[in-house]
Amino acid sequence: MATQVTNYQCPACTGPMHFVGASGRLECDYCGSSYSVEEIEKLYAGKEEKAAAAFAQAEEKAAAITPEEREYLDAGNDWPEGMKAYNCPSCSAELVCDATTAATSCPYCGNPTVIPGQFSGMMKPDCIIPFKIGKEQAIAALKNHYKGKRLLPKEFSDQNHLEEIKGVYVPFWLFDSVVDADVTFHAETSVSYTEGDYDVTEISHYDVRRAGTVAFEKVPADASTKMPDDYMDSIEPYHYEEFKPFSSAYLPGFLADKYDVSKEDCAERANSRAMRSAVDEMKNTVVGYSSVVVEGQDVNLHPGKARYALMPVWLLSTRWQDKSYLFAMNGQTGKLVGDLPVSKKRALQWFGAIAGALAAVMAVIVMLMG
Amino acid sequence: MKKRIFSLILSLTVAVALFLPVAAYAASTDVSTEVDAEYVFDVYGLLTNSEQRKLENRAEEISEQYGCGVYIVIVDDYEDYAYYVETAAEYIYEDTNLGMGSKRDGVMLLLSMYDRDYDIVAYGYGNTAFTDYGKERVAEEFKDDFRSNDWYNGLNDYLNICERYLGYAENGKPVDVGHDPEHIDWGRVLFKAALIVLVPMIVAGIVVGIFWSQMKSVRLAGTAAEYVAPGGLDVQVSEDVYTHTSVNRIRRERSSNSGGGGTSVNSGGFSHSSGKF
Repeated sequence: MATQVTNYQCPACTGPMHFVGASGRLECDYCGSSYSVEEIEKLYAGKEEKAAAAFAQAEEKAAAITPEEREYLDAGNDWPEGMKAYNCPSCSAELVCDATTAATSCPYCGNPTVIPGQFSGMMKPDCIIPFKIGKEQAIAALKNHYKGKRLLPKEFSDQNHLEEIKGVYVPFWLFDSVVDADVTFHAETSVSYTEGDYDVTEISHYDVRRAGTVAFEKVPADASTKMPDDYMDSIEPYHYEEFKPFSSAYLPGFLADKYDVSKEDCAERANSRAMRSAVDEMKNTVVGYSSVVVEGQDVNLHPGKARYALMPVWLLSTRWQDKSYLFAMNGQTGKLVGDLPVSKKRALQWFGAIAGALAAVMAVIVMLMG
Repeated sequence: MKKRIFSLILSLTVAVALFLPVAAYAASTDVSTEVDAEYVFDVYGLLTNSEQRKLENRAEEISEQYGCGVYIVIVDDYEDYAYYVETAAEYIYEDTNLGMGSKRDGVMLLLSMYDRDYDIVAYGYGNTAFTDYGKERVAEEFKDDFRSNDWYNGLNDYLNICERYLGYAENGKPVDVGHDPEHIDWGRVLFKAALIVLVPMIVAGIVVGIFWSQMKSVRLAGTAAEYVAPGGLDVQVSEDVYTHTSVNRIRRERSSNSGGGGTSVNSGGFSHSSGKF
């Protein structure tokens, strides 16, 4: 039976290859040869097709199995539900991964492996942003993230250890839309002057209306249940001008998942963002007033094209005092986010120091005032 | 011709106005001749002879000790002397030749019983010892007794506080705004405490809050402003309709001199603090 898994081997020495963001090429770990994505695509097109066909065949076969047969077949397996087993083409070891896994590495021989079937046919992403930031840069950025954080426990940066770092191509849905917005505002201008013993403020009131359309392009929403939405939102934006047509050749050396959140489910989040922004855009056109308050709004969204894309993300996890801390980094721009622990002791020390110093200054001022 | 008649009438009116109070005062001082008055003149007859004598002795004792006369004058109605209570007090002070030493240093409490008016008038060194703020505090000292018609104790309190205030002045620190050993201005104390304690705490809280917020960098996105297509905003309706104008008028607070210290002395050399009791 044909294997469903492909690993990219160096044409010169058959060593494992991985994609390197800095050079934008696939490099051999052993002999140092490097190849462009197009060269590798050409070389591996046939192999990928065969693997994808084997994957499709296996999927069809699995779909035809009755529950009774499934129970019989799974009797000897000890992996949890929702997992799939493949064989590493290099060492033949069994690879057990999530049902959504599209790229991983063999835990035995360490070779980067890709499951092309996960991204074939309807499941093929429209585009991909390749990794630009390397692992070392991600680690350095994490250390930099700790700098200047005055409430960070001193022991955290000294004692916490990087438990895991992985580069992941995260599936995203990107939504185009046009929003019709009809928004009414109450706006004011004010003039102040003195009249005899009185301070007079004249406030002119206006009813303002703005109506029109706002077009949005590629509003992202991550399509993987494994990725926390708030982390993925926080590492935005990506530079879309660097989108490339999808190719499996970008995946070796990284993890990748196919989407497991449907386009419809993701659309809700992306569309609500677009609708809120449409109101803001209209408000931004109301200028020349001292205050502008939204009074009413009629907002309708017309959905447009939805694209399926893979975005590069570095996930770094550390552990300190039996608690895990997750950090996510945009693999294209290098933007890193992650909540840090707060030392209440340091917060109190800062509070005391600032309040004490200011109190001393104020005491002197009060004494001078008499 | 009309002008001459008007001037004559005015002169006569002024002459009568000046003569009558003097005559009335001269007549009324006779009432208290039973006590040999040098410091306490009870024209109205408010005090018993015994009370007046005790107050007279006490006032004399204080005046002699500090070289500054401390006087009490009680009349039926200050309007018998002048149109304003302050003018009446000055008139009596000068006419009775009050004050000690060449500069006629002294402080005098005038009580006008008809409408329960008072005026504390200071002259010479009295202006130094009894600042504007000091005179207000002196009035507070006797007013509570006078409200319950406790005249003797009220006047005795007046003499006692005059003695203490003269003592402070003798030590070079007359009672004034910012120096009042006998009175705690809780409003001012609380204001200062707020400046020293609350303001630094609020500022420190804000700064630590900013530090705290720097520790959180993960949050859900609420908007999509970065994803508006180039030229994607098309405003088709733009209406700005003026509806009305509202006007707020706030009366400006007049700057008062109550915050400053010192004594406001008029061109005649007197300073005053007057009111009702």
